[in-house]
Amino acid sequence: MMTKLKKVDVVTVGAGWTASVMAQKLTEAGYHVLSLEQGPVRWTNPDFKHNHDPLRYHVRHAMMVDLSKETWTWRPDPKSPTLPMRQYGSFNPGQGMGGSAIHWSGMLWRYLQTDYNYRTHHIERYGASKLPEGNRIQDWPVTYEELEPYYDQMEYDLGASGQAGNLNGVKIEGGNIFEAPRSRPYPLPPLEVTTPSIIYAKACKELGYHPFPQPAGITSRAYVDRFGNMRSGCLYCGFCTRYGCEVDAKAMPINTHIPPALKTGRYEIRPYSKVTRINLGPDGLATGVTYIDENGQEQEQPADVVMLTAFTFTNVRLLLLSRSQIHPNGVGNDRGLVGKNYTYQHWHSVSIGMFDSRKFNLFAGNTSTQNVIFDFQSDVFDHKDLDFIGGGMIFATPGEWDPLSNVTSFPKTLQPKVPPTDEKPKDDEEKLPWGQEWKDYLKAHWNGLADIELQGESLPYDDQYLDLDPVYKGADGQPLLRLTFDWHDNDKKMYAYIAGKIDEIMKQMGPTEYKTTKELDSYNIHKYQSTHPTGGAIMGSDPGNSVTNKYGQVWDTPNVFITGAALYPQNAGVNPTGNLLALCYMAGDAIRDKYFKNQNKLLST
Amino acid sequence: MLNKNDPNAGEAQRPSEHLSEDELLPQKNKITRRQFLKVSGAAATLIGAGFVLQACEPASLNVPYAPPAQLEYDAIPDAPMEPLPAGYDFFTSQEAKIVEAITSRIFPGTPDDPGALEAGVPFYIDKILSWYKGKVQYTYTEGPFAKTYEGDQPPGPDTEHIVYVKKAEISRYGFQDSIDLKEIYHNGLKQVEDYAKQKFGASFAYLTTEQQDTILKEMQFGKTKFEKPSDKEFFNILHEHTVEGMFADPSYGGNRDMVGWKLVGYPGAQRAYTPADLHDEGPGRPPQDIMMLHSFHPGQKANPNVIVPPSGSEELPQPNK
Repeated sequence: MMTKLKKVDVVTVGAGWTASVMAQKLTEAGYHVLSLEQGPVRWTNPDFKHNHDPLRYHVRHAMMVDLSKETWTWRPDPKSPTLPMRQYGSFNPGQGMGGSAIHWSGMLWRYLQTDYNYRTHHIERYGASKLPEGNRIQDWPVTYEELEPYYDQMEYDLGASGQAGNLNGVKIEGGNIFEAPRSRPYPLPPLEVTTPSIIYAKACKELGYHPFPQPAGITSRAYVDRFGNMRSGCLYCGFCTRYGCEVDAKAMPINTHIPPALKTGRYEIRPYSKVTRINLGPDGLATGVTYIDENGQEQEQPADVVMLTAFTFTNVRLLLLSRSQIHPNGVGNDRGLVGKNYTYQHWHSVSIGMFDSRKFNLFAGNTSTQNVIFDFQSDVFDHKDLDFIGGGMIFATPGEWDPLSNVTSFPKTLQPKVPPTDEKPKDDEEKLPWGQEWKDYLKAHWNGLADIELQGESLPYDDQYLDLDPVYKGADGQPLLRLTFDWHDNDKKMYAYIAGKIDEIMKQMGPTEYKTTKELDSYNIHKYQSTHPTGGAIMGSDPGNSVTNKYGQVWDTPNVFITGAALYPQNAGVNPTGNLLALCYMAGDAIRDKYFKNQNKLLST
Repeated sequence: MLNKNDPNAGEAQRPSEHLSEDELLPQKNKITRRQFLKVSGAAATLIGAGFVLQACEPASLNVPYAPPAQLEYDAIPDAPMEPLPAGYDFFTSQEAKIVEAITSRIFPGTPDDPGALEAGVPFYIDKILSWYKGKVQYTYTEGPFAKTYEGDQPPGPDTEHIVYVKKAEISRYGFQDSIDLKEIYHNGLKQVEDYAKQKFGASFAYLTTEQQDTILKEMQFGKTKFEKPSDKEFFNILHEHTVEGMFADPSYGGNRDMVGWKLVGYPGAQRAYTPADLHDEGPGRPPQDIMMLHSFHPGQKANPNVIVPPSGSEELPQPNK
């Protein structure tokens, strides 16, 4: 039996990055914010003090969603069968206070100016027929220039480390000369990089490219932010992505925005509270949310504003599940646009080199201790004579290696030379190495291997989308979210071209031997690739082409706001976190300063 | 594996709290022998018979770890390994023999060049299966379940319980079985054993290594008729568990004496590295496991080479050198 709880000004789904940013901004201005978090409370001290255990945190995903309770179903295209992802998995959605922002890698970017007007830019430069068939590419309703002050403040709040490459239009060698102009340098100098990263940067320079150190939301020195949070410099401990940071070097909501929000006395985080739907009144506006509490009991939480600040998938699923008479297809879905423009992220280890008698110690560091080039990012390079659009960042070589998770990925996929079959391997199982030769190879070379990786753009298509699964349900008794997704021709051509460039760079690095994966395999749901699913509730210039305006405000239901990467019309060739934080800062200020003066109305854009 | 000649057989059992610091510390030129002992009725009988029973319960966290006064990173020499424990909790004796044989082919070894057997991989797998609830991955277990078919047309329409998927496509969807890990091992090992007898006329554990490799290769490439689990699925799980048993923290029962980490040069659960450590291509640190990872607080020394910066300080203190 549901009990009705005391109303709050704002209720958020989850207590992750964007929830904490909204909470900090709004509580500062006197509003009461409640975050309903499905997982537990956790703090750096004591929860992360003794967590250097890769089996538990990396292989068994201790910080992630328990799939036995909720998972996602997948089919490569609308004609193929759908099955649930029964074990991890292509992506690692988090849970618990701080969300995925506890176990994130810390890689922190600003988008390029052309990321925001992607469609217009490409048509102007190459003509409309250059865009791939069946695409849904769309301009953002916001520009880089609008977001610059928010990027700036966000980087200082996170204690970001990096080397500026474009300071107010002045290009700085050693930084990313292709980046959009910034008004201030990073607050902290860049992190240290690994030995192969240094070899990589030298090779890139020799080939005429422009390497720079990875910017990160990880402090490289001891740091105090404007809220008074005190953070230690990075220890390069090698237990970063998939772990909480035990010295608060990695920026997490629990060492940035949650403490100042809690200090106001107007912020509450309620753990073990799983939101199951947005409640709507007869006028079609939200009245709050329903959630299942720690005892499994349904509760109704009233609020003036509902914010979907959870992971991309969770936000989209909640929109679709929240049906009412006025909005029979779910919140924001009167025109059937929820679930459209689902995109993902290329993330591949493209080339692996073995450097005889070197000891690279890649077990140290973290996944940001690397060098990057943008020379093949997005439309930085001329595609006139190429048969694809887009690109990505090429980087090498991050640290944080541990044998549990990487011993099966090396150049010599050795099979014992035994009959009956000498067939070429068709899938990941058939590629598994084993036996004495493999063991000898690991002994001789594990510490002398280095790879070059690609993180690339993902474009939206008509046959790539999210919807509710007709068959499978979660522990909450409601349909799971279904993904229809596979790589398209443009992806394969883009990958093949860049793999060729990566092959040249690896060769230039001078390894004893190396192997480049020259072709992109079809997508599969079981191998980890990236936790950057994006889209499904995109922002746009008007209700005809999007679910929300540029503040994430749902056109059809103006007291519902969405944050995070669900808002992305397409995904750029870098980690999405920097952009979604900048957007959240902008939206938070607008809500704080303008929304409450004119509640339940669309903010002017 | 039996070792009737082991000098430790019959030695008095001591709870781990009474181990001296000396016995806990990794010492120069000596591989630590830790004797965490689980005394039970069965154990007492086995010990009486000349076996050595070792469980892998972790040392008490109250025993302090003090780093040696001077860090010397000498090369760690090879040394003969201790014999394997005999006490499986989940596998039958026959199943244990097959698991030992299979994992020894995936990751071969000898006492001088330790592999899966010496590291205790079968023991690690046994522990996952007996501590089942806490030790395996999150798995969504609701139906309907996949059923594969060959050819272009499925045998029928999908039902409430079955989703038909082309055999060539099924591996894209990852793990899809409807049975749990314990059944997978029981059924899988039985099928391996039956197949060995059918193909080569003897139990799997008694085949030549070439014959064993032949069978494993056939499983890996999906050439047998195994079902529930399929051959590929079972091979994949065995491989996965062998890797885990070689390289997970020793507190899970495998990677005994950190032999897996020593093989590849991974220093295990270290607290911190300096920028100089990232680029140092010398012998490197000896590995340590998570039980040796002492607590620390900002301002304290993590080890003589790394000082954790005090929170909020204006500048990084210089390490003592």
